[in-house]
Amino acid sequence: MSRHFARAPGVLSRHTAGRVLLLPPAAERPVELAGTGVLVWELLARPRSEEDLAAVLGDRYGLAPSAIVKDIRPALRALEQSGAIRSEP
Amino acid sequence: MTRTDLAGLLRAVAAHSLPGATEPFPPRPLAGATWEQLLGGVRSQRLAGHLLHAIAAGDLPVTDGQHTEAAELHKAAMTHVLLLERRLLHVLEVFGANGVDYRVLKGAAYAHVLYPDPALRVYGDSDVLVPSRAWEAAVAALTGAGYRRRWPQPRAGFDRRFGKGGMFTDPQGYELDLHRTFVLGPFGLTVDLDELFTSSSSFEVGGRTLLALAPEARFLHTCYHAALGSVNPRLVPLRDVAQHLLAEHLDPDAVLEVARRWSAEAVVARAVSLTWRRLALADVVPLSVWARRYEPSAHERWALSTYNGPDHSYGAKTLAAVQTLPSMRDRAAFLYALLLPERDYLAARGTGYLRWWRRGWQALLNREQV
Repeated sequence: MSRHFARAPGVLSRHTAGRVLLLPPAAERPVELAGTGVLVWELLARPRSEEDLAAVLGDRYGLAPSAIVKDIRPALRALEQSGAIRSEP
Repeated sequence: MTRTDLAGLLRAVAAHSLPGATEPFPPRPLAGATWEQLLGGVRSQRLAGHLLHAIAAGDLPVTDGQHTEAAELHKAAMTHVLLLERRLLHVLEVFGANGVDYRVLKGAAYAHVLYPDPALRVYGDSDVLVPSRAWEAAVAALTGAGYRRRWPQPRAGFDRRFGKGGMFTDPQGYELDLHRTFVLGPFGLTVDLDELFTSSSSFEVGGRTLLALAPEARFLHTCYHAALGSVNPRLVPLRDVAQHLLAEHLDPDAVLEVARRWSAEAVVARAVSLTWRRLALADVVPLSVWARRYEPSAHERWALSTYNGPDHSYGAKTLAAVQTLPSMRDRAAFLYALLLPERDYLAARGTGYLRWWRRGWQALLNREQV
């Protein structure tokens, strides 16, 4: 069973020129997301599993979800480390 | 590019996507120097959100380099806004812990309650209104949380009874304008301040629900800011006025009923007329028609002149305020505090009693000449 990801509470955000700026509660400066990262952030408006995210993105880009999972894992890890999202088993 | 051309371009940006906006955008990308001037104007007028929106909508053609510059300008503005928003949440937490009621004012609220995307509204500081009865508690709570007040009040109790508010800075240097009323001077003393806390509108920031003024009061405050805040207001408060009237569908009768109770019809008329003129809006709404026809009384013209006339100094507004105060007792207390302020009040302004009195005397003479 894969982990579920959700937006962390208290994250502030703004869209700017196809990107999203996120300010997690403990961050000194905003984190900037572009490309797929923006879509991942939008999808995480409700908690989702890694597979669920990969299925939606795969559908969108015409790729196999298994290929997408490998791509989004580093992005999810980076977002988690920044405090913008959190995961639960 | 002439000053008029630049003003027209800024108007087009400020009015972008409003119904009835008439100022045209150029048909092709601007030349380098012209673009730089526009970018400078957009920065100082806090219009980066509307500029980026006009570009994204294809209404303002730009080169790739210009698009990058507009995006960078907006990113810098949004970074500042996010940091301000975090400080605002902290202030409201402090108020919550101390039982201080509040309403978020201006940009921090408008971004969320007035515009379809909060990224459209750029602002440079946070503004919060607190009830007069909670003024001292609010100041104590902020001071306890590490905020420093920039200017002390003239005498103890002055702010709670007569003041507009105070400016505070947090340890990181971010500014907070704490308001008791909307403006200095005569128009700030006729607002029904208790009424502002009997209703509200709400918005969410970072998962927390925050309170702003109810729509009619919020629109009236926008008018005070646009009409009285500065002799030559930025375009962004005028856009806020237009946004309220063209996108928010306020009930004009309800707005005017409150304006009449607050003796603020002249303020609304000036703000709306100024907005329609400066943004070159062709659409009409009931309040724009009313504003065009409104004839201020002699008293209203005089009160307006203390904000926009040849002598719009602090002294002029103060003298005008005295005449608006309801009782002789209030007038005496007001004058006593300003004629004999405490020493730290004068010291913070780099002056002493003699210079202070001389300045007051000069303001009095100027009023008589006007």
